[in-house]
Amino acid sequence: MAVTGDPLRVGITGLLTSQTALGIVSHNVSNINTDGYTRQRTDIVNNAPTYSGAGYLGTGVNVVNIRRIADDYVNQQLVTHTTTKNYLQTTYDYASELDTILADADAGLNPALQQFFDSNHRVSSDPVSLPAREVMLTQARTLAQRFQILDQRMDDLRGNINLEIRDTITEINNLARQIADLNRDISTAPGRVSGILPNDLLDRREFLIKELGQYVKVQTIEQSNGSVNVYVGNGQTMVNDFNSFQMAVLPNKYDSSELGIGYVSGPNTVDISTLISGGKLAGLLEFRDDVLTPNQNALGRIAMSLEDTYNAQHRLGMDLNSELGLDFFDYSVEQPLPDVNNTVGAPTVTMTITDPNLLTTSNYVLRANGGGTYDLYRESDNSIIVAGAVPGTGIPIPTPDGFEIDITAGVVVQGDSYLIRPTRDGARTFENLIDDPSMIAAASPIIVDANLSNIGTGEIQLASVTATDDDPATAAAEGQGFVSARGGTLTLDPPVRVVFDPLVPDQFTLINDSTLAPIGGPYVYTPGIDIAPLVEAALLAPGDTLGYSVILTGQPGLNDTFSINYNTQGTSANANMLELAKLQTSKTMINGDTNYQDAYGQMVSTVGSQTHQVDIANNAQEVLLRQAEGRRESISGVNLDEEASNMLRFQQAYQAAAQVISTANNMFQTLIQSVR
Amino acid sequence: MRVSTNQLNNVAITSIMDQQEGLSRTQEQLATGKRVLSPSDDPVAATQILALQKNTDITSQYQDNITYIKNRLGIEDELINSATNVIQRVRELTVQAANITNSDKDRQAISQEVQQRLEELMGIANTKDPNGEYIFGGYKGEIPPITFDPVTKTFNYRGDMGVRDIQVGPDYYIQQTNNGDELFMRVRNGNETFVTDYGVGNTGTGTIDSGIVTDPTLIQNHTYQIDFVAPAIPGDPIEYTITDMSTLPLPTVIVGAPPAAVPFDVPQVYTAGQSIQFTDGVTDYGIEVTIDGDPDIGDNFTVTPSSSQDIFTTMQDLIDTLNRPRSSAANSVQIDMDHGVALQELDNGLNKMLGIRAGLGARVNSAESQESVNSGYNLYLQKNLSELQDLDYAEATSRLNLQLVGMQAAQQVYQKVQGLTLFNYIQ
Repeated sequence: MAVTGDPLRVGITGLLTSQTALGIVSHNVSNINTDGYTRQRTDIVNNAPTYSGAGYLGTGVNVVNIRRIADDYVNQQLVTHTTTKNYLQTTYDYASELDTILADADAGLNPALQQFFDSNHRVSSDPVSLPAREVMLTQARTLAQRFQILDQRMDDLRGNINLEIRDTITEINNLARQIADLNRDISTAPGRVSGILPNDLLDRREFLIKELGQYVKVQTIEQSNGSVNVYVGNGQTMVNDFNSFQMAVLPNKYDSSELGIGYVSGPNTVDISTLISGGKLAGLLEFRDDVLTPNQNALGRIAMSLEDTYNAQHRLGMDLNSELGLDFFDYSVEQPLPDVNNTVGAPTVTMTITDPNLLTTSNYVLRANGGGTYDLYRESDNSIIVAGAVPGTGIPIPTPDGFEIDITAGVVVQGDSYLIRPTRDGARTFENLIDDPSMIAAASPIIVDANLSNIGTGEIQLASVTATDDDPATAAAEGQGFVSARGGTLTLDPPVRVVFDPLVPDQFTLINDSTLAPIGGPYVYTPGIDIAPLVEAALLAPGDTLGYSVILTGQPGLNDTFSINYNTQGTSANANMLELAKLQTSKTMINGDTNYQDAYGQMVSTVGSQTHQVDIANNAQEVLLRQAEGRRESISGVNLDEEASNMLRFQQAYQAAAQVISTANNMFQTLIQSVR
Repeated sequence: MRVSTNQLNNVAITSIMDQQEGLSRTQEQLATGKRVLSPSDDPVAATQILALQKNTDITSQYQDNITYIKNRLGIEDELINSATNVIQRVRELTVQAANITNSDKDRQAISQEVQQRLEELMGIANTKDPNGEYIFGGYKGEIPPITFDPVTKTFNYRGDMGVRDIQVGPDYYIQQTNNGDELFMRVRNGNETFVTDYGVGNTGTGTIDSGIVTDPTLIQNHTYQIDFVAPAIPGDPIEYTITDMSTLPLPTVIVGAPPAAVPFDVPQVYTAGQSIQFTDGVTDYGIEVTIDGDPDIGDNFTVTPSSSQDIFTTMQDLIDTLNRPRSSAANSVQIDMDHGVALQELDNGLNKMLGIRAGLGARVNSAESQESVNSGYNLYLQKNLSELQDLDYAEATSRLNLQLVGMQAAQQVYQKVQGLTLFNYIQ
């Protein structure tokens, strides 16, 4: 070191120190716009003095360290808030998109439903008008398309989510690799042992961890060698020292079109979808499983309820060709999806909808347990709704949720499972079956008549039609009143004539209106008497019904007759269309609580309020994130004015030190000249 | 607190962006006139808006239905009015023809007009609506409802009793159609309880009126016959018996036969123009008829329960009567009696139609009153809907102004802050 207070040497230390400090200032200024940059400071320390007789002589100055001004706690906070913010932002982005899809004034379901039922009313006011019927079919097709389009748009969201999951996982793996690399660089950097750290590498690593935090919630633990270990989920290691590990896209075990998150552990990939929390990844998964799936199911449920109730009513009617109504709409259900890992020879499971009114929007998992038992698990409330021993093939297992499952022969091995999504395909496969306007069944299939020569005031009226069956085979078996072969002539079996006694007032018999064969009687007449049960008691097996009800009122006279016949050529009748139109406002869904449009309204409002809540949380998180960023900036950010003043400071120090050197030089020159 | 240069910039930029977001929202609200742009803006209001919108749409559909039903009822009313005019005219002709001064030729001429009117009425009954639907065919709207069979000379109704309702309000249906069955076919004959008639082979000039019901609860709907018999003592006034033809196995003689304990056990003395009660002194049959003129021994009159007779057959019977010459005194009183029956049955038909037309008018009234109920409800719905979804323009414009001021301020702040750095002063 310098000898006894040599101004030249001392001056040079000042010169060099100021130069270094100025270098750092310029580094700070240059990096003012660098993401993740942490301002640096030069730690300047005066050199150890040397002893002289007069005392200790200073030996100048020295830069001992170049330090990052950072607060680990603040940085960690920033990562946490970034994670939460990205989670909320992703959820919000998707939820508001779904919100827009569902509520669109023109493309939503409600306008299509409304127009369809409007067209029902038009047919009811003018049943023979083919144009009105054509309009109704067009509206039915539009309605079917609307269901399909809405479902398609939800599927598009699903597709986007899959893409984003794929990209995100690639990004996460890249980041993990880079962090591991940085760990190596930092850990092996010279000087680390004496506390001299590679500041810019630390910045970079910190920045990458924050980037990683956007995608998934991470935990970091700093090691004694300067490495940072990074964990996700419930302790899955992404970075350990200099090694990085991989996440992988993992197709759902039931439905390979649905992507989940896997963690590559040796030769195996473990499903960690349910362990992921926070960040974009969790936002994607949660939106899909908690918002999109129930709503897509809810849309399917509306389609299925509509199909069920509308078809049932349509089948009770009669069309322009005097034929009974056929099914108007159709959908198909997705059959249970087996786990890809199920044992070879595991049973096939089928599912049948029994009552759409009872359907929920949940998905279900059928699980095989030990000893040939099973349970059916409802995902929406995590409850087991049915459990027991597996019955034989062909013995369906009823559930309280409107469907039944049938486990066909196979070996039931504990651990096998099946995913059941009763309503998933309802909207996608919803279609209109009727193409011929004359096949709209607007009329009621029964006509009642009072004989013109009746002398009394008796009136006959059709009270209701509750069942029809135009298949001769089953009609006979079910004992129902309607018999035909399609394309043939439809008849009532039997057509009924009510004949009042010529002598005894208020007494009648029933005969077949066409063959005149006796059916039963005599019966005592009371006003309001229902004829159908009398015929049923006389002709049908117990429990079978004619499928209609006809009421006699007033005071029929002696010899009066009334008849009940098939409504052949009754093309101007609209009773069934009135019933069909009424379905718009009938509470036919969700245990009889609501109608189709209100059910859709509930979907819209649920998604709306979910979006609203996420929006609020997202905005709040935005503020928190800004605050965290502010705190970091406040500590670690570069302030140009500060740098300017530092620059001036070190510039002046540099100038002064240079002056000292110059003075020392003068002193030396003076000495030389005096010797010369 | 220490502030970094980037922080200064960020604060300025963030506040500008926040202002922009608010501005663009207000702009969109002003452009659409809607306060709630998506359900998430106000989920509660959005649900109500959907429900109100649905109710408005349904109510509008009811209003459309009402317009439709009013049109249809208007057409029906017009047709029924024409039909009553036809029947009125036929009634006038009947009155005119009944005048004894008319020659057989005159009566034939009248019958020709009645024939034309009959065809006119059939035309009315077989009218189609603009869609090609037979208006009075009940459910069988594609078949002409009234046909005439020239062989059997009968009028057949090929429609049915079906009527169509239309929904005009929640759970409120109005009958849209009337069928030809009730309008033309189901007209009661006689006095609507029973029909009186003369025996085909009557030779006297006795006439029977249409009779009255003395007690509706006693009416048995049986067929009775009044027979004129020779008096017990020759030279005495002619006597009559009354027989209930509907009892089995044999008809029961009510008046004019034993048992002896009751006053009417012998045939009763006939007095022209005197009313005849149907009673055997024990049982009252609730019927009273008046027979006038000079019936011969062996003449008879019948009282049968009233049933339905279509208005066309009534008119056809009238035509037949008008074409019958007044060849004898007995024949002439029979023609007069037939005129009387025709008049009564035409009146029955008219009353029936008037009743139906009154019902039709009442339905138009119901439709109209429901129309105003619906439009009132619609107005109420619109008002609520507007309150929920429509923008308060005054509030929005003042908000827009505030936001513009805020925006300007933010931009000015940025401009000022952005230029500030110490480096400017180090030259």
